[in-house]
Amino acid sequence: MRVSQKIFHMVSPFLFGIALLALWELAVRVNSVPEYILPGPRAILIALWIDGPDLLVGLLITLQVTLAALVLAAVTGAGIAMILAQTRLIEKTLFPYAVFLQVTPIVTIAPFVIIWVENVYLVLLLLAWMAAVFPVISNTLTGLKSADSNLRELFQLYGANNWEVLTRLLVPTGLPFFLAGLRISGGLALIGAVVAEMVAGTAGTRSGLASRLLEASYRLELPRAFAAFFLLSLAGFSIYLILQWISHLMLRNWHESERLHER
Amino acid sequence: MTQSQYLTSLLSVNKTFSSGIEALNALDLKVFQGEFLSLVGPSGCGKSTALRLIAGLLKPTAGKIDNWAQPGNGDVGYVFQDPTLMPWATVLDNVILPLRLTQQCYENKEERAAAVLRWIGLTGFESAYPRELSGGMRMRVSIARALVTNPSLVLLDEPFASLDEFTRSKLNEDLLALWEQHQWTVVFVTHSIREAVFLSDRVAVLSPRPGNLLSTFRIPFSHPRRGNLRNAHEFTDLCGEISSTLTGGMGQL
Repeated sequence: MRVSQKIFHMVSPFLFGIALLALWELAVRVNSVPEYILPGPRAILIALWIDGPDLLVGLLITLQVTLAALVLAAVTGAGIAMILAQTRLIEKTLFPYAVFLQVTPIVTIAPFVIIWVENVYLVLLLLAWMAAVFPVISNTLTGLKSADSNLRELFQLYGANNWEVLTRLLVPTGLPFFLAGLRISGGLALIGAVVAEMVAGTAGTRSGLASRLLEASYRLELPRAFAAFFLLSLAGFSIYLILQWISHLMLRNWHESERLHER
Repeated sequence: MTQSQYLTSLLSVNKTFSSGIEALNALDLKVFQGEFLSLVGPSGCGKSTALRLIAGLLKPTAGKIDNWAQPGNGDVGYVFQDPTLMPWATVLDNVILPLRLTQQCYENKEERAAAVLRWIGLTGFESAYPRELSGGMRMRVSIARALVTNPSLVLLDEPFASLDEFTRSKLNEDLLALWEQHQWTVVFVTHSIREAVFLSDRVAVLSPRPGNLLSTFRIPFSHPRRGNLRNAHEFTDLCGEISSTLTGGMGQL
C-alpha cells in the first residue's frame, strides 16, 4: 500500500465522523430544535468544556468499577474455566449455571443485590462482574479443551504431571481464547457498571458518570447528558483498544491471528 | 545378534478399541538392541497403534509387551506424523521441553538442546518460532526433540509422509547418518517401501487390519549408506520382493 493511501485509510473514519457532526449541527440549526430535545454538537462541546472536570470525576468512578469488575472477571472467569475443564461431568453439571448467569438481565437481579449487599460500591462491582464474566469462562473453556491431542500424548510420554500439563500446555493453548473473551468482557463490564449505577442510583459527589447522565436528563440538561454519553462511549472504545493492544503484545510472536498477511 | 538381546517385544498382542475396531490381532514383534526396524503395511493396518503400544500411550487388550526402555523418564523418543510443536515456544524451547518434563540431569539444558539442533542442521534457528519454518525444518525440530533426552528407543510414526520427495530423501539421509553415529534403537513406521529399505536393518511387513506380522526382511546393505544406494539393482529387487509380500498379504482378504 502506498503511504498516501495508508494515511487516507487512517483518517477516513475521522472524516466520516466530522461530516456526520456537521450534518447534525446543520439539521438542528435549520429546524431550530430546542436544546432540551436535541442539542447540536456545538452545545454538547460547550457542555463538555464547562462540565468537563465534574464529568471526569464521574467517569473515573465508573471506570474504577469497570476495571475492578474486568480484572475480577478475568481472574474468576479463568479460574472457573479451569475447574470446568477438569472433567466432562463437572462441565456438564456447572456450565448451565454459567449460562444462567449470562442470560439473566442484570437489571432484574439488581434489586435483590441491592437488598442483600449494603455497600454500594460492592453492588456495582458485583453487577458489572456478572455482566462481564461469561465470555471469559466460555472462551477460556473452549481454549483449554483445544489442546493438540498429539501434544497431550507427548506430555504423557515424558511423564508430565497435571500441573505441568496445565501450565505448559493448556494455559498457552487457551491464552488466545481467553484474550478474545476478555475483549468482549471489556465492553460488557462498562455496560454492567453503567446499568448498575442507573439501577442502584448512587448519588452525590461519589456518583459515577452514568448517574450524572441520568440526573442531567431528568433535569433536561441534554447537552450535559450528551457530553456524559460521549465520554462513556469514548471510554468503552478505549478499553477495547487497550485490550486489543495487550492481546497483540502477548500473541504477536506466534499466534495465527497476529500474522500479517502480505498481499 | 541373539534373540535374548531384544529391547522391546510384543507377544501375541491384541488391541481392540472401544469403537469395536480390532487394530491388531496376535502381533508378535521383537525389536533388537541398536537396530533400525521399519514397519510397513497397508493403510489402517495398525502400524501406528503398534507404535503407541510400545510407547505406553495405549494399553494392549490382550497379550504382553516387554519394554526395557521405560517411557516416562525420557528413555523413549516419539516423532508424530505432524511435527506437533508448541506454536507459542521457540525452536529451542520446544526441544528443551522433554528435558524440563523429565528433570534429566543435563547440567545445561540449553546447551544440550543446541547441540542436538546442531546435529540436525538447525543451528541459527534456536529463537525462531515454528510458524517461521518450512515443513521439513519443523520435522527436523520434532526429531531433535525426540533425541534430546538421549533415549534408548526412538519411535517414528510416518514422520516424512507429508513432505515433498526431495525434502524426504534429504531427511532420510540425514536421519540415517545420525543413526549411524549414535545407534539408538529405532522403530520407524512408513508407507514407503523404498524409504523402509533405505533406512532399515530389518523391515517388518504387517497384514491388513487386524494387523499381524506377515514377514520380516533383513536388509543386507552395509553402512554408511549413501543416497545413490537407491539406484542399485539389489535395492530395487529387494523393494520389489517386499512389495509382492505386501500385496500378497492384501490378496488374502
